[in-house]
This record gives sequence, structure tokens and C-alpha cells, in this order.
Amino acid sequence: MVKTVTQEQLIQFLYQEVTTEEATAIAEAIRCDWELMEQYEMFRETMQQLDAARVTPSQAVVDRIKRYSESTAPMEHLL
Amino acid sequence: MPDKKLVKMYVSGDESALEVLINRHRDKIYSSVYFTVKDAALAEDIFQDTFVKVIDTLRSGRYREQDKFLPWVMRISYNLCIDHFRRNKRMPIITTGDGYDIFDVLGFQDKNIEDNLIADNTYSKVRSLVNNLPEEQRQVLILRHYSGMSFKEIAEMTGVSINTALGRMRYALINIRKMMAEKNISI
Repeated sequence: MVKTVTQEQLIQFLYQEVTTEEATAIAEAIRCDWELMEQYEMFRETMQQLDAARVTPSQAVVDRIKRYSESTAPMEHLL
Repeated sequence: MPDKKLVKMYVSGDESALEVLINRHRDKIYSSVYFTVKDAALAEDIFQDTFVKVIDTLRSGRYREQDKFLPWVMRISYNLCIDHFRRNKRMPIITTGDGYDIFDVLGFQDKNIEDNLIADNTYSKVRSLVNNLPEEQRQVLILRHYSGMSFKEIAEMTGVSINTALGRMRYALINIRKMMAEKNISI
């Protein structure tokens, strides 16, 4: 019997927050239900579009943190 | 290698373990701070201050091993964001039942979504959409999508049930999609 899948479960599935058994059941349900497939694609595409806004700090700030760590290391670690 | 082991190595004096931890989580932590303060230089300052606190806490032995590293660091960065807004009195302070939550007190909606949407780069477009979400939805979306926290961790951090966090995420994604259609945005 095909599992009934909610949109919340689809989101958990996309973020890989379901068990292997649940993932298998949800994947099967998506294959069997075109409406669910559309919802799945909608969430997946939207999440991909959100990825476009990921940002990263500069290497300079990372280097400053490393320098802070090295300069404040306990004496016994320096020996 | 798990974060837990890297933390132990760092506390034992292995500086390279810190670098691995930073590189592993830098984008998640920085993205969430940047989305919150909306200023690159300030976000870098807060990012740096976050890790200074992390370093000092680890070295002082006050880090509890049962805490997961990333959610712990995220809490530090949020509190530093709150400190910043309090200092600058840019936002009203509203406390919640179990403390405070920056996303509840910030409330920055862009005044003119149209202005932001005509920005000529993808980042601006997406950021505008995210910033125009209702705060509760924006909070969950940032914590899940950009910070990489699980819905369980988000629920614990924000004091709501997992189902509520999931529901907010669902509405956030639907609303992002709707705004993209309304504004005829393709990315």
C-alpha cells in the first residue's frame, strides 16, 4: 500500500531528516502520485533557488581567528 | 571526523582542528549572521567575535560535551547579533517566555520590495524574497536552509514543536515560490 505523504514529510525527506524506511516509502509514494511529484519538485526547485543566496566569510577573517587562537594558546601547548 | 573529536583535539592543543571546524561550518554561521544584520563588514565582525568566544569557552573548559557543536556556535552568534542591536538601539527588545530570540525582535522587512527585486544579481533577489517573509517563517528558513540545523534543533532553540517548525518552513517555501511568480523572478 502506498504511503500518504504530507508536505511537511516531503520537506523532511528533501532535507534528509527521515529514516531509511521512511525515505523508501516516500520515494515510492512520489513515483506513484503525480500530484505529490509536482509538490516535491516545487519544494526541491525552491530550495535550489535559495542556495543562490549562500554567502561565505572572507579568508581574512578566518585568518584573524586562527591568529587569535594561536596567540592565546596555553603555554603547555606551545612547548 | 566528527565535530566532537575535533573539539577534543583542539582543546588538547591541535590548532589544525579549529581550522577544520571553521571551514566546515563557516558558510552556515556566516550566512545566518549576514541575513540577520544585512551588512557584510558587521557580519564578519560578529563571525569573528563568535569564534573568539568559542575559543575562549573551549579553552576554559566550560563547553559541555553533550552540546552539539554547530547549534552551540549558532546560539553564540545569535546572542552577539542581539547584543549588537541592543547596543545600537535599532530594534525594540521583546522577550519571550524562555529568553529572547533575535528573529522575534528584529522585524526587518524591506520597506520597498520592488527596489530590492530590481537589483541585478541573484543574491539580492533571493535575499529580498527571504527578507519579505513573515518573521517566524524567515527564522525557520534561515536556521534550516542556511544554518543547517535540523528541525528538532530548531524546535528546541525556538521553543516550538517540530510540527510547528515544519509548518513554518512549508509556508516559507510556498511563499517564496509565490513571490517569485508574482514578481516574475527566475533564478
